[in-house]
Amino acid sequence: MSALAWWRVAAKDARLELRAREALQPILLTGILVVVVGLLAFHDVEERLPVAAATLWIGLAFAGSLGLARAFGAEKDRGTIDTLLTLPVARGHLYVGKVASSFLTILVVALVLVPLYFAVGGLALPASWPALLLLVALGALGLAATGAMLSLLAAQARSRDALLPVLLAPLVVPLLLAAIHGTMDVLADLPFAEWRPELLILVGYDISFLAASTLLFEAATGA
Amino acid sequence: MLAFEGVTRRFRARKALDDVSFRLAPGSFTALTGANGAGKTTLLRLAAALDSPTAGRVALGASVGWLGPEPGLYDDLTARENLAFVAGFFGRSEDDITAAAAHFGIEAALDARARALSRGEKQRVALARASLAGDLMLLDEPTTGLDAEGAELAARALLALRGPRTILAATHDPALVAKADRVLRLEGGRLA
Repeated sequence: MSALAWWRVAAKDARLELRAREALQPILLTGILVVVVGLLAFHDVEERLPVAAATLWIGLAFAGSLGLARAFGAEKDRGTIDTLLTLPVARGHLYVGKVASSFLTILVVALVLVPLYFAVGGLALPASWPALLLLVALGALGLAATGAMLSLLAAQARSRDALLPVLLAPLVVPLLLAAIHGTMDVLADLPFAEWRPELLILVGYDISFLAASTLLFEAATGA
Repeated sequence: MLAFEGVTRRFRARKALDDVSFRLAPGSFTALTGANGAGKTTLLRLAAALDSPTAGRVALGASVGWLGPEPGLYDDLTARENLAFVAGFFGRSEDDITAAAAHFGIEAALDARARALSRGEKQRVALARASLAGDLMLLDEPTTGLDAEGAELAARALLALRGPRTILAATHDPALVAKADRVLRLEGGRLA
C-alpha cells in the first residue's frame, strides 16, 4: 500500500487539476509572458545565448513558483491536509506524491514554453535537443523537490503566496545557474564534456533535496 | 488503541492541555465535551499524531479515521472519488465504499461533485470517509452542519459502528453525549 501512496496522491492532484485547471492556466500565462517578453526585449543583443538560456529558466522558475505554493497550500485551504497526514503511510510518501504532481505541472509548462521559446526567439534547434529536454526535466524536478517542501512550511503562513518565492529563490540559485549554463552549452552545440559538470550538479541537487526533504518531512509535519 | 499519559500541550505561555490521562476501551464510543477553548480539538489532534505533546505520552495503536472541524473534501472530485481516495490507502473495496455510503445515507450523492453537495451531505460524506479509514475514528463535532433529523441519523450511524470501530468524538450535541459509553469532560485543559 505504501509503495503506491505517492502515486495515489499525485494521481489525485492530476485529476483535480484536469477538472479545475486552477493552477495550470495562470502558471502557463506567466511563463509565456516572461519568455516572450524576455526574448523580444533582448533579441538584438550580441551575446544572444546567455540571455536566451536565462530567459527560459527565469520563465520556468517564476511560473513554477506560482504553482508550487499550491502543493500543500491548496490542501490547507480545503481543510484536507489533516486527512492526508492521518493516512497510514510514511509521510515522506506524501511529500514524494506532491513532488510528482508539481513536477508534472512544471513539465507541462515546459512542454509549452520550450517550443515557444524556439519559435519566438528565432533560435536554431540544437543537434543535441534531447540533452536540452534532459536538462529541463532535471531542473523541473529540482524546482518541484524544493518547492513542495517549502510549500508545506509556507502553508502555515497567512502570506504564503509571497513567502514561497522568498524562501525558494536562494535555495534554487545553484540549480538555476547550473541549468542556465548547461542550456547555453547545449544551445551552442558544445560536446557533452562541456556541460557534463552542470548535468552532475543538477543530478546531485535533485538527489540531495529529494532525500533530505523526504527524511525531514516527518519532522516538518509536526508529529 | 489510544492512551494519554500525563499529556500537556503548551502554546507559548498558554496550556491548552494540562496533565491529561485516559485510555479508550476498544470498540467504545467516547464523547469529549467542554466549552469552546477547553482543549478538545488540541486533544484530538494529539490523538491523531497531527501534533506532539509538550510533556507526557500519547500511545496510538490503531489507524485513524479523521474528521476535522470542516468536512475537508476535494470539491472537484465526486463524493465517491473522495471516499475512494482515502479508502485506497486502507485496502477497502468498492463494496466497502458503497456500504459506508449507505450507512450514512449518501448513496444518492455518490456521483455528484463535492462542491454540489449541501453542507449536511458533505458532513455525512466526511463521516463515511472516516469510517472507511481507521479502526479509531477521531471526530471533531461530527453532527455540525446537520439538521435535527440528519444529526439523529448520523448519531445512530456512528453508534452502530461501535465494536468494529472505537470512536472519540468532540461534541456539543447533547443527544450524542447522552448515547456515549463514556464522557470525558475538559475544563481549562484538564479532565474534570
